[in-house]
Amino acid sequence: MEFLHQIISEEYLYYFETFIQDWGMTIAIGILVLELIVIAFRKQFTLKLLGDAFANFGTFALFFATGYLLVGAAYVAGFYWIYLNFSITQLPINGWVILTCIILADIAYYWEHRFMHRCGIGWATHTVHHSSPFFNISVAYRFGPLDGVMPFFFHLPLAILGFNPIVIIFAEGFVQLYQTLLHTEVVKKLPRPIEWVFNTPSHHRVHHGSNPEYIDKNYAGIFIIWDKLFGTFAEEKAKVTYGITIPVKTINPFKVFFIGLVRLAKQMAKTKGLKNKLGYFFMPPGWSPKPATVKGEK
Amino acid sequence: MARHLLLTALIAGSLYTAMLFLIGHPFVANAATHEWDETQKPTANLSTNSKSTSPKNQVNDEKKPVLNAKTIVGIASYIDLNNAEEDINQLWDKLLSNQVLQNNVDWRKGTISLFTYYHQFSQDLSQASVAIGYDTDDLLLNSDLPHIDLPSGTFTRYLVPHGNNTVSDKAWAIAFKQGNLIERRILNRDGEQVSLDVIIVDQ
Repeated sequence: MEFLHQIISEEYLYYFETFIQDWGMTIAIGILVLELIVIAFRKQFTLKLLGDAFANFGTFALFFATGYLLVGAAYVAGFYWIYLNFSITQLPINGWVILTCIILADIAYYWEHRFMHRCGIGWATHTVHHSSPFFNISVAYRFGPLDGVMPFFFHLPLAILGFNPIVIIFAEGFVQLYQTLLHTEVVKKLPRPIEWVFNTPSHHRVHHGSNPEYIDKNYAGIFIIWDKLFGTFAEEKAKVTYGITIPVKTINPFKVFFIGLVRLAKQMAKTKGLKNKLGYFFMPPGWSPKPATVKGEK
Repeated sequence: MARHLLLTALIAGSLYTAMLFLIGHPFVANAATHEWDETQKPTANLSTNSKSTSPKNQVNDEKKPVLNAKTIVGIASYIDLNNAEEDINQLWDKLLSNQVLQNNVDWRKGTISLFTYYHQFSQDLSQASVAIGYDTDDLLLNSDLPHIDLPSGTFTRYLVPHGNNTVSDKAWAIAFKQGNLIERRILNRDGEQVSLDVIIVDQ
């Protein structure tokens, strides 16, 4: 275990993070090809599925352009500002610290993900990821416009605790990369001990389900134990129906990318009163203002 | 929901604390070591007022902590306090460029103590002896560099604001009176400073 105490430089960790993300995407494309072959053998292949896969990568390109290029520098600078000025300590970069940061980032991710499902503006961006009626590895790259912004607020405590921003970004990336592999129907259930502790393709299929018993379940990143602890776990039993309750009937990546924000904007524009507009913005999806009643009327 | 958030904080706190123990972070290393020994020597409370009137940046207790005898290895010099910054910087350069000494430090320990000991102030407070060195317990081998004994006895700790390496004027005033001031820096495996505290041993 001595190697876990060895100090790692910021530059090396940043290089390693970029390396595994780049190769992660390359491997994901390879896995997608294999999945499509399996799907073809099962006679489930359609042009719509292929178009949806292209749309997924299209939204990722838009996410990369808006998120990384416009916000990325501010995101990293924000972490460094907190780390240098408000942290309770400054931790070294070694294996133990990185491992701990990954686990803490996974806890942060659980709450961030729960927020994205239970808050209007969060769902407006995250609905893009859930809007695909299919479930394959390309769906892992289906992102919304603000998906790169929300994590900042939930991972800020890690900077205050003294984790180097490069470590935090590596941990966040690792949690995301792990989940990439979960987006598949080819892998059924894994051995019980794994299903008990880790997030698996089975658990994540439930999360993407629009079946009533599967709505707002299994928010976990790496460890499914957070869902079991916080009462949001559901096991895969019935066949999963993918997508969202009001389907997205397009494979145009631009329309898909903005669909959530457009729907939220329309709801806010249609409703009267600032309180109701803010209600759509902050309250859970499905919320609507109380109908006005005349005094004396039940 | 509140219960779940509290549970989250408890789990995160436990994991964080366990990690601090594993890496031997000064937060827990200090509590575990006897360097600033907290088995106190009781001192008479001369004040008739039961409330302490100590200044805010001074950690004081009726039972004062005791600094055990300690030897450091490094470099020493007599400096001009009117030109303190330049002289001290030269001493630091000399210490850090001594590759024999730097390679002799047991960096694998994870927490290394580096002391700066000010003493032998001149009558007019224009000069002082300064020694900068590593705790002999943190070295791999005996060194033929100067060994300097730190004073032992009851001491008072002065807080240094996080991110600011400056000792307060009040602490310096007391240092001149007591004839000593010791800065202890804790370094991590990378040689980076993770904490600084200052003590003045009672003479």
